[in-house]
Amino acid sequence: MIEAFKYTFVQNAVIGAVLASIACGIIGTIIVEKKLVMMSGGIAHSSFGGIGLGYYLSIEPIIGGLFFSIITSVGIVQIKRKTNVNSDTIIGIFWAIGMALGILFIALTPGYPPDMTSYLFGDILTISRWDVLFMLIMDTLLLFIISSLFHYWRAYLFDDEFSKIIGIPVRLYEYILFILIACVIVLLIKIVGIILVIALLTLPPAISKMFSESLKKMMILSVWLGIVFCITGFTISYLYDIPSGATIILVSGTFYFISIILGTENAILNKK
Amino acid sequence: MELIHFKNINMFYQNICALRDVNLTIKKGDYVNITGPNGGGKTTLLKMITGMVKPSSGNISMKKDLKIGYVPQHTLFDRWFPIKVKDVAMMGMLNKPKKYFHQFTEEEVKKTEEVMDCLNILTIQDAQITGLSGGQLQKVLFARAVLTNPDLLVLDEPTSNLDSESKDMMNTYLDKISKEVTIVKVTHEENISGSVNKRVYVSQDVKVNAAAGRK
Ligand SMILES: Nc1ncnc2c1ncn2[C@@H]1O[C@H](COP(=O)(O)OP(=O)(O)O)[C@@H](O)[C@H]1O
Ligand SMILES: [Mg+2]
Repeated sequence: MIEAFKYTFVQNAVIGAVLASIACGIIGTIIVEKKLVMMSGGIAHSSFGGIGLGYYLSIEPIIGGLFFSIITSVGIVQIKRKTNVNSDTIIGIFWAIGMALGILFIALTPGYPPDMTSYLFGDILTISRWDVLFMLIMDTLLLFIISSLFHYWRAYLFDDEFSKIIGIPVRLYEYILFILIACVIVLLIKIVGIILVIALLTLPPAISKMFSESLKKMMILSVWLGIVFCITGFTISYLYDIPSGATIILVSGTFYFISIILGTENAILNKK
Repeated sequence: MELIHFKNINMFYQNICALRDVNLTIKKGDYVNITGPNGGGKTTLLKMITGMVKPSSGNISMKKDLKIGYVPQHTLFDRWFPIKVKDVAMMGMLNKPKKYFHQFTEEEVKKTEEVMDCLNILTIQDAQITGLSGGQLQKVLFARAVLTNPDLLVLDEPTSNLDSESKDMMNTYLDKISKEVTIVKVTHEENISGSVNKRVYVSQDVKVNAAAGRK
C-alpha cells in the first residue's frame, strides 16, 4: 500500500479523501442537527440531471451537477416559503425530476452512452488535481464562513425563531447554508457517488453526536471520523480491488453499529 | 411614548379565528398582563409583537429598532442539540451589531452569571440542555431573553412550569426591572404583581380594546 503512494492518482485519492472529510464533517453535522438529511438526498439526486446535461452539452459534468444542485436547494427553500406544501413533498419532486432529466439527457447524448457508475457510486481513484483544487477552495471558504460567524450559525441552527427576533438575518443564513450544502454534496460525488452521499454526510456526525457535548466538538470529531473511514475504506478497496465508494460507506456503517453498542452507556452518562 | 400600536387587528388561521378586532397600545414603561382562555389568541398576539406572525387584517405600528427579548410558550428547538445551558443563555447577547470571530467579553460573561444566579440556575450552567426539566429550561430561556438587554420583554406563560418559589423569584426579578423595561406577559397566575399597570383579556369572543398606559 505504501509503495502505491508513488502513483499520482493514489496521492490525489488520499488528499481528496482528507479534504472532502473536512467539508463533510462540518456540513454533515449541520445537516444532522438541522434535520436536512432528506433535503440533502434530494440535492444529491437532482444533481444527476446536471451531470446528464453536462454530457449532452459536452461540458464538464460536475459543473452541470453543481448548477442543478444549487438550483434545487434554492428552489426548495423558495417553494416552501411561498406555498403550504410540505417540504418532504417538494424534495421528493426535485429528487425524481433530477434523476429523470439525467437519464433523458444521457439517452439524447449522441454516440456511445457514457458509463455513469462512477457518478452514481463514486470512484475515489478518478479524483484529479482539479478536484483537489476545488476541494481546497471549498474547505477554505467553508471554514472561514462557519468559524468567523460561529456564534451566529449556532444560534440559527439551534433556534431560528429566536435568532430572527434578535435580528440575525436567518433568511440569508439559510440561503448561504443551502448553497454550501449543494457545493459540498457535489464535491463528495467523486468519492462516494450520488446514491451514497447521504451516508457519508450523516454517519460521522451520527457517531460523534454520541460523544460530543458541543456543536464544535461534534464537527471536529466528525471530520476525524470521516478521514478514518475514507482512508480505511479506500485502502481496503485498493487491496481487494472492490468498489471504493461502497467500501467507505460499509466501513462507516460498521463503525456506527459498533459505537452504538459501545457508546450507549457512555453517551447517556455524558448527557448529564 | 408609544412602542406598539395595534389597530383593528384580525387574525385567521385558514378559517379559524384567533383574534377579533384587537386595538391595543403599549407605552414605554408599561407592565401589561394578558389573560384569557386557552386558544383565546394570546400566543398569536405575542407573535405579532415579535413579528413572527403577520395579521390577516389591520395595522400594527411599532417603534423602530425596538430590542425585543422573547420567551416562547412552546419551544421549537431540538432538545437534543449539543449545547450547554450557558451558551443558550448567552445567545441573547448576539443582538448587537455582528462581529467576525466574535468572543463574549468578560463583562458579558459576568452579566450572564449574575442573571443566572438570580434565577438559581448558575449551578447548571455547564450542563447540556438535553437533561433539563421543563422548569429549568424555562428559567434558561428567561435568562436568554433578559440578556438581550431588551426595551421590550415579551413573555408567554414564562412561569407555567415553575414551582412557587421559582415563580416568586422570577416575578420579583420582573418587578425589579419593570422600571427600565417594558413588559408584556401572558399568565394564568392568580396574584398579579403590584407593578402591573394594565390588564388585557384576550379572547375571540370579545373585542379587545386596551389603551395600555400608566395608571
Ligand atoms: N399555526 C397555527 N395554525 C393554525 N391554527 C393556529 C395556529 N396557531 C394558533 N392557532 C389557533 O388559533 C387559536 C389561538 O391560538 P393561540 O394564540 O395559541 O391561543 P392561546 O395562546 O391564547 O392559548 C387557537 O384556536 C389555535 O388552534
Ligand atoms: Mg398560548
